[in-house]
Amino acid sequence: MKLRRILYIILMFLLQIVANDYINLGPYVYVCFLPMMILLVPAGRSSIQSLLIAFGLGILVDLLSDGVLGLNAAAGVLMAGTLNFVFNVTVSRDNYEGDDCPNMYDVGIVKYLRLALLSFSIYFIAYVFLDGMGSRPFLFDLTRLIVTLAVNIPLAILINVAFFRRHR
Amino acid sequence: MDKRSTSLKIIAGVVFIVLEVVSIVLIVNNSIIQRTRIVGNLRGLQTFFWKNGEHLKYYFSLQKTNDDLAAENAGLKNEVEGYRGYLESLDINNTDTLFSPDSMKGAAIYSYMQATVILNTVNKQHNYLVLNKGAKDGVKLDMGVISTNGIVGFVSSVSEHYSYVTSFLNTSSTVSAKISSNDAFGPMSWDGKDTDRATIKEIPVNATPEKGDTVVTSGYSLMYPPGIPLGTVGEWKIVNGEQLNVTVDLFQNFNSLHLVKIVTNNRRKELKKLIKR
Repeated sequence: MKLRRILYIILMFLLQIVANDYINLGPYVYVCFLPMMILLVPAGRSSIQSLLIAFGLGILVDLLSDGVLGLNAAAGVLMAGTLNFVFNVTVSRDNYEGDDCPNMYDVGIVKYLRLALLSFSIYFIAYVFLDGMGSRPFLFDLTRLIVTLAVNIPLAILINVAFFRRHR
Repeated sequence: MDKRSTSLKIIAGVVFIVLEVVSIVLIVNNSIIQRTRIVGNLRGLQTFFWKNGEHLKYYFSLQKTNDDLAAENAGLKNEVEGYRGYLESLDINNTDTLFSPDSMKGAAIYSYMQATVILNTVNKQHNYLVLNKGAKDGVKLDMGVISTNGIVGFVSSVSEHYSYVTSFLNTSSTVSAKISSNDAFGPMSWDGKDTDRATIKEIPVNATPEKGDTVVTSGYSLMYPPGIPLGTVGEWKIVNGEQLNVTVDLFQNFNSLHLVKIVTNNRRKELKKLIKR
């Protein structure tokens, strides 16, 4: 189980490298697999471990991308720090094993969409805010946030389908 | 079990803050835009706290400010009376006409603008102050700044609403000072140690002062009017057999500065033009 998750995360890194090097969808879209990687961290782990893993993964993603070092790490730590709260308000702990990460097949598509929407929003609000730091018009940041969420949430669904469908 | 859970939550909170701070430090160190914005916001926050801290400090030092103002008032009144007496002794009958505002218009060499200190450092080698008056109020570079107890510094940078003052407590600042008892003058500077002491150099040996003599501004400057009391003579020592280094106990307490006056030399342009020739 653990090995499979590590393999998934490595695969996400490979996807992130491909996305950074070959996918350029303009200034409004940021394809990022880090929030999905953070969601793959087992929910049963303590917050401290989740935070450290999110920070480490964030730094690695920052190093892989051309952006500012620390941006993904800051957003990832914020997402990991609020993840327990997000789990509590979107999916019930009864729906998945404590040591596992919640996936679409365990909690259902609606709850998973709620989870992805809230956790990804936290991540990308932090990312877009720190990336622009008020130097861009608010409408630009808002559009960027909405379009980025619109791209990354379906991507998370696709990844769930690809990773978890066979193991139901 | 509950205790352990609470401890873990506290540790997680600390780890969260530490990791966020580390991330933001990385961002600040790796991008000019983020650095400018984040550092700018932090400076804004710092100024807000300083400003309010100064207000609080000012509130608690109102008694002393009142005493200082009363003393200054009394001094000015005495000075006016002295002039009146002097004029009367010259046998001029109508002194009121002579002192009417119309007759005094344009005669003043120096004019003063009241300002409030919103930031003041005293613990560095190059100290500075920020005043609540700027270019919008007519503040310009190189204007002197004084208070009721002596000189404070000079304006070295001006923004629209604020001015940055290089404090006299700056190892690279000097002011021309003279010992009022014998008119011997020399450059007075701060040695970077005690905030209540300064040193006048280049005083001739034959102009040895008495301990307690008053030291005032010489007026050999475009920034400060002559005769502003600066302090009293403390110790002195002979340097190279021909000059004296005189220690001055300053009147100015830089730790409790709040109200200051920005000095405008109305003939500065004319003097500068003349010096350039």
